[in-house]
Amino acid sequence: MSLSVEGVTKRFGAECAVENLSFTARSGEPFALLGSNGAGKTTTIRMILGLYPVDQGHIRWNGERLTRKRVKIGYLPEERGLYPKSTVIEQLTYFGVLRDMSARAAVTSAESLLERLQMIEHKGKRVEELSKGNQQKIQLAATLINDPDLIILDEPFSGLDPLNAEMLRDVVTHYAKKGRVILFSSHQMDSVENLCRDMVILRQGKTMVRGTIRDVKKAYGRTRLLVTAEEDVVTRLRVDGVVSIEQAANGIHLTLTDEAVALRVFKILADHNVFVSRFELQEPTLREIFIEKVGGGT
Amino acid sequence: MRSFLTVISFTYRQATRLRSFRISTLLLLVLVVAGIVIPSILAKRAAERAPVNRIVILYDRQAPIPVQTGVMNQIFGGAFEISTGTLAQKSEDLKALHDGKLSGVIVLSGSQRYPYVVNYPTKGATAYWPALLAYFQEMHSVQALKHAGLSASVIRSALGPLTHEQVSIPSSAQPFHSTHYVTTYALEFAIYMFVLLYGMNIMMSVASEKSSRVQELLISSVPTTPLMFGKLVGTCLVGLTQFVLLLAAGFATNQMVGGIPSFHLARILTPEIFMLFVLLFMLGYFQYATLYAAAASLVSRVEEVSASAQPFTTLFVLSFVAGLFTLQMPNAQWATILSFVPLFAPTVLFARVGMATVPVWQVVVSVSLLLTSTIVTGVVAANVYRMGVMFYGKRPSFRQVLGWLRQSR
Repeated sequence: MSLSVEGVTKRFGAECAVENLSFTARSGEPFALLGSNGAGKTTTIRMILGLYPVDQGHIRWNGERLTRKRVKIGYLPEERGLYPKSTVIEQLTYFGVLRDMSARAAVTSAESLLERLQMIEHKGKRVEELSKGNQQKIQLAATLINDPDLIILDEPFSGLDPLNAEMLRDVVTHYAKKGRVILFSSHQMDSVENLCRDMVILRQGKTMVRGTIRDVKKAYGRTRLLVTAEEDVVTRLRVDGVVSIEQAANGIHLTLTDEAVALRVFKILADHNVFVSRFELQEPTLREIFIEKVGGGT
Repeated sequence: MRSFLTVISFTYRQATRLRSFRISTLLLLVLVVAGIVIPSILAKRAAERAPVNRIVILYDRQAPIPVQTGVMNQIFGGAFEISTGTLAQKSEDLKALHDGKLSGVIVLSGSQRYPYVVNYPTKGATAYWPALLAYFQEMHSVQALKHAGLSASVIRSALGPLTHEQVSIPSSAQPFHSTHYVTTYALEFAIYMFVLLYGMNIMMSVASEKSSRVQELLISSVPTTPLMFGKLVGTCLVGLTQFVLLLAAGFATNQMVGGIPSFHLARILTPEIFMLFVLLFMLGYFQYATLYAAAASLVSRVEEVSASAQPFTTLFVLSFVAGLFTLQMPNAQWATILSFVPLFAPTVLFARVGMATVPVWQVVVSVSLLLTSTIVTGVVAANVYRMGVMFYGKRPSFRQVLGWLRQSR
């Protein structure tokens, strides 16, 4: 299964919200849709959901036009809400039935999801009686109630404590292994880096970066060097090709113009008989690439 | 269709389970029952305190004019019980009159002078005096003419009643059913309360779903059109449930206690007018409810919703006021014109139909215009709602909304 966004453009009056966007998300390989606020992520998601018509381009599922009738979609919106006065099981059943499930199937699916999210004891409670974290789990359950083929998670980690974030990661991995197509939109680059294979970074509707996370990082080169030494070597490291030096708790972080500079730095340390416990040439983090591409504002 | 029914059912269950719904229904039930029972108790007490409605006619064996109890009953229209007695009991009856046990005493003695003494508080009795006097006068003349030797046929022809025929000029001939006022007013008020209460409920429901962001999950689960109309129908059913409960309680109480005298529901609600009432009631509700839903979809916070819906609320209140004026002047030209304006038709047309005779073609044209307008409003509102529910932040301008509508064509 695959979701293909092909040359999609969306305008609101004179403003172009998304411009000629293309990517493919495949089953089992969560895809990251990244960008700062106003980059066009939500507009893209709404076009995929069929809420906004596409001005140009196509959105396809397995090569055919994507429609909600043809594809089961589960969407976890960034801004979340539930019916506070309704019980957990009642609203999960409601969302299930709205997505063409029978009431019985919706109840069964809701109970199994609640079991998985360790929320089964809360099924008869009204949502307003639950903590914020637990409410978010109910929303995740509402997203997954119809065992969707395409799962769209918009900022799924926001507001989750580390334990619940870990649980969410397990759930995403579980659905990826089941072969579902997962589209991720998040500002939490660590999570994206751990879970996703492909990504696209948007800025004001334009595509800034596209490809597999590994390739994108490779293309950026290894220009970050971490040195941990037994003595103060900062002054010795001020050589040509070293752009910046930062002292941190785990060592000295250097930014280099290119990988070859690292060899020169190594030679200087060796020539001065400095005892080095760590010398690591690092790839840029996704966060750094993101900040560079979208200008720091998230 | 399935999702539409699911939204209806969920909306209905959600609303009827709310404590506020239960409390308000209970309070309204108490009000309705009290509104029927209290006037009825007061009326019964007043009847118990009222003097006996009895008039006694006293005369000797040879009465100066013939006394026919049947004719007397006709004159008094059955409002008083008429009995006769002899002059010997005059002082006794006058004392009874003074004590409030009688309403009036008529003394027929002598030839031309007949005192009619009434118990003052029973003002009703004096109202019949002109008719009574006319009857005595006629009888007196008949007696005199008989004594003069005229035959019965001559007397009949001389004193016989003149016949008359009433011819009305068409423009002013439209009857005005003043007796329908209370009932028509009550039904007008029912339309007003229903549209306002449940239209507001729709508005609050849409705004709270949007502000709580559950809307995001909803619109990704179900298309916006069945979502909006499901909410409208679900809320309408909630309102009808409340109304049926109130009507049932009102009807049952009315049966038990005897009812409010001036409320003639059965007299006004012929099958045709009942159908028209239901039609105007439903079309009025859907027309305004769709407008309220669209207005509420444009705001991001519940606090902003009243301001957004203000123009429609003002229009509806104006239409209710126009309806009230129509109750007084159902044949006025402005009322006829307003009954063709769809936003005014539910209240104004019903007031006209309740209070006067409205030509069928006017009813047909007015209802057709209202139906068309409701459909058009529904389509426009659904398009505004579709875009509005996804729009957060500053309320969109009128121009933006027009832009959405142009896009949706």
